[in-house]
Amino acid sequence: MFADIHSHNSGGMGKPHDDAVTNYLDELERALRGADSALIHDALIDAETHLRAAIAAGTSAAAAIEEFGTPSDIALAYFREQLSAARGGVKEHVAPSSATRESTVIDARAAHANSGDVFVSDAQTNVGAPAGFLRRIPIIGIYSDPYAWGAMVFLTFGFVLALAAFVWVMVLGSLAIGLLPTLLGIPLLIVLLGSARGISLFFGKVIEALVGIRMPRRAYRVDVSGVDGFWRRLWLWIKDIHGWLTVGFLIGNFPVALFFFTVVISFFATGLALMSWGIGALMGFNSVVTITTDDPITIQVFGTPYTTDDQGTFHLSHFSSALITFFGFALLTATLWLSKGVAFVYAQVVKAIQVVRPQSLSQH
Amino acid sequence: MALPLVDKIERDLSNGTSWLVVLAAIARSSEPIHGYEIARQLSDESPEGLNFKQGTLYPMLRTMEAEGLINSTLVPSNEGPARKCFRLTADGRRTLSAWIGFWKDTDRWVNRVISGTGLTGGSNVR
Repeated sequence: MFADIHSHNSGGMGKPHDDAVTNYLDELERALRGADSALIHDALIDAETHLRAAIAAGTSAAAAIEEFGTPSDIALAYFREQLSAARGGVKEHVAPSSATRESTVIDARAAHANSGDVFVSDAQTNVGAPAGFLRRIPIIGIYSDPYAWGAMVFLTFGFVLALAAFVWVMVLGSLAIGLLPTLLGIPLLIVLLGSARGISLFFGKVIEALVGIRMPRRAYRVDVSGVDGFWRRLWLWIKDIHGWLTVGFLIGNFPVALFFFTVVISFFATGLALMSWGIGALMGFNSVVTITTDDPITIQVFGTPYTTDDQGTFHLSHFSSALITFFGFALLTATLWLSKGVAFVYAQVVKAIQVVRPQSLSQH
Repeated sequence: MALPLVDKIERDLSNGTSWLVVLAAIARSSEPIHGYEIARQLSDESPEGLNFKQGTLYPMLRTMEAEGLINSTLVPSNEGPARKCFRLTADGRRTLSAWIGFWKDTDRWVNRVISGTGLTGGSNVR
């Protein structure tokens, strides 16, 4: 994708500039090894955009790169950003796992090994700050994890987003394909690809806010500057594989989002209902669950049969009530873990679609 | 004085002051200003010997935006794709104002103390 940009950029960037910038980006990527892929994505786009702007303004590639900073210095600045976010020092909530934070510190240490900067020890003492007491309790500690609740919110309300995106892509896509014979479909395809990228970036922002996983802050762009000819520019947009991948994601995301919406809502509602029933019965409020039918209904609670009385109420033993409460609690807990896990995978998929690695730069 | 310690002090001092000058560069611009322009201005105005790494600006801008000190808009550019341009928020302006006050106090204090050393400073200390 970026290679297209380079190869088509006749204005100001000759081959030596291309090579110098590409080599620098490769070095920067190496210096950032171990960092979050979204952070690497952002750092590389920042660097490339800046260097290209500097070269276009008349600075030589060597001077632009020197002024920009060495890859290790720049990598360190991005590690600092990541550490700052992990400390909660910023309003956005980027909560990498402890392993990620540790690796960040290690990478930062490696990057700064020769400088003796106090930053490393500072990072070590602050970043690993212990979570709250509740958070450290195995399994049920998830109740105090705001990102687990955020993941659940994402999987429920995210369905609305997925539906809206699906409708948009399908309507615009159908219209574009239908109008292709009149050529009016081509600009519509461009709008579809551009808007899909914007929607995907918005998805990323929602995921980052609710689930706490760092997502790319910048969308890669299909840079058509310097490309002569209207149709050649359109062609660059249309043949961009990432745009189509994003469109594919927005279409495929709808049934997936629908499935998880159903699962999460069902599990959550069932867990909550069971807990309410069990706790109500334990407190003597058997009428929490009342089933009014002509004939009595018999249910089995873990092997013990219970039949409704004249008012349609079950009279549960304390043991059965406790079991129901426990089961409801377990289901709620499992729903939170499931939500967190699914949202994590979701985030990785969205990130993988958005992240453009420099491999595509060096392919050409 | 050992060279590595001078480098370390320079780096520590630079980390703090970079935020101040970046905020100030955004504040003094009458229009929203993009990253490359901020970097160019700061490099042009940095005194000899002070090595401002332009690439460190971008993560800084991102953190500032996350902190609510600046906000950004995409502005169309004649030279290529739309550019992300920054302007100060009300919070950013208040923070910068407080920071400038602190900087002036610090500057007075440090100058008062170091003026008694008889040293002129500069790269010859290395």
